[in-house]
Amino acid sequence: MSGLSTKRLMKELADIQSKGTPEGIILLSADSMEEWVFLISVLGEETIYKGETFALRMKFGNRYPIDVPEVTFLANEQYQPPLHPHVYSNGHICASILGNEWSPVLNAVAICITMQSMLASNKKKERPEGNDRYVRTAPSNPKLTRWHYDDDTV
Amino acid sequence: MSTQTDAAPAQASAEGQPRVIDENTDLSTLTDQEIMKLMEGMDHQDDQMNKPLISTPVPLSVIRQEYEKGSTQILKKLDWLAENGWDQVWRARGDGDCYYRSFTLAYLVRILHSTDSQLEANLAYESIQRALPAMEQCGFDKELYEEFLDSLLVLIRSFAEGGESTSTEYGIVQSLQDAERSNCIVVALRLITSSYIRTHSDLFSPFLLSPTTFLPLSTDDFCRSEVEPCGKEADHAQIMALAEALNIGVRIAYLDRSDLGSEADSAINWVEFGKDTSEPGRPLTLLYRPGHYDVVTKDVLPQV
Repeated sequence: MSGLSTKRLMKELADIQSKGTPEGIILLSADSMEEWVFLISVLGEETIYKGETFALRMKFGNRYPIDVPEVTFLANEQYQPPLHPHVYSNGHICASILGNEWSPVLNAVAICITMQSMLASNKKKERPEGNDRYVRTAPSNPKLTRWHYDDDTV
Repeated sequence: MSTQTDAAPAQASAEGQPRVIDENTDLSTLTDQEIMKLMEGMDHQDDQMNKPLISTPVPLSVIRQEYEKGSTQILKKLDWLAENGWDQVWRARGDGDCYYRSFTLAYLVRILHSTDSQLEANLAYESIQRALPAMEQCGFDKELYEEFLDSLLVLIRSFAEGGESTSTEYGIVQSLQDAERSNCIVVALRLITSSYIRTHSDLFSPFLLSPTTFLPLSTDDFCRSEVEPCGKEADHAQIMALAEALNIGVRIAYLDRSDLGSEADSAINWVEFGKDTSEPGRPLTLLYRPGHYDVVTKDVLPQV
C-alpha cells in the first residue's frame, strides 16, 4: 500500500476507535489495511429492514483515498445483501458515490452512512431490474461494471 | 437504473493458457483478466492513462501538425499564437484532472520565472493560507485537507529553501509526474475551488448547471458531483473560483472553431479569469481545446 493510503486508513481506524461509529454501524473486522467489513442496520420502527443486519465489505486499493474502494454487500451463508432496487443479489451496489461521484474527502464511515440512508429511504423490497442477467455475467469487482446512475433517490 | 452488462461479462472460463477471443466467443464466458486485456487495446481512456500526468514542453508546431488536415480557423489561431511568441505547450494527461494539473504546473513555473522567486513563493504561500478558512467554514476536515495540501506547500516552500525539485522547469515537471503527489495537489485544488464556490454561493449559483443535463444544480450538488470528485472536468465556474480563491490571473486561449471576424485584434479568443490578466501581471496561460486543457507559454529561457 502507498504511504497516503496507509496513513489515511490508520487515521480512519484511530478515529473509529476513539470516537466510535454512528448508531447502526459497527466495524466488524479490520484485520488488514486492505479489507474492512462493517455491519449495517437501519434504525427506527419505520424501516422495511427492521431487525435485519447486513455486512458491507470494503477493499482499499493502494490509490485510496484518491480512488474509491471496492464496496459490496457480503453474500454468503451468514449474510445476505439487502433486498433493494440498487443492490444486486451478488452484493454489487449501484450508487454514484461508489463510482464517478466518489470524492477523496469521503471515507469508510461516510460510505456506511450513505448505504444506511439508501436503505432507510427505501419503501419496497425488490431486486434491480435485470438482476439475474447482471449477476450471471458480472465481473467479481463491481468497479469494472459501467454503471448508469438514473436516480439515486430511490 | 440499469447496467451495461454486455460491457462487463463474467468469469466462467478456466484459468490457464490464454485462449483466442474472436467474434464467436460467448461474451459471458470472458474472465476479468480477459476483459481487462481486451479493454487495453480498445479503450481510449486506458490509452490516456499511460501518458505522463504532465510533460516537458513540446513546440507549438507539434500541436499544429495534429491539425494540418483540420479546420482552417484552428490553423489560423495556431499561427497567431506562434507569431506572437507562444511557442511551447506543456501537455497534461486527458483524464479529467487536466485543468488542475495544468494550473499547478503554470502556477509553479510562474514562481520559478519571477524576478524574485522567494518573494513570489511567499506570496503564493500566503494566498493559499488565506483560502483555508473557507475550507474550514465548509466543514472539510482540517487534518484531511492539510494532508492533500501539504504536497503543494512542500513544493512552494522548496523555492524559498532553494530545493532542487523547484530549481528548474525540468525539476518541477518531474515533481508533478509523481502520481501520488500530483493527485494530492489535484484534490487540494478541488477542495479550494469547492469551498470558494460554497462560500460565494450567491455569486455562482445562477451559473451552476449539470454538464450532462444542463439543468441547474444546487451549490452543494454541484460541488459534490462536479468539483470534489477527481476526473471531473473544470468549467468556467471552477476556473473562476480557483483563480479568485488564490488571487491569481488566468488567461485561456480557446482553440476552437469559432470565427472571430476580421475586426478582432487577435486571431484567438482569450478568456480571462481572476485578477490582473494583463501581460505584466503574469497570469497563468492555458490552451483550451474542446474537452482538454494544456499549458501554453513563451519560451523565456535560453536553450540549455
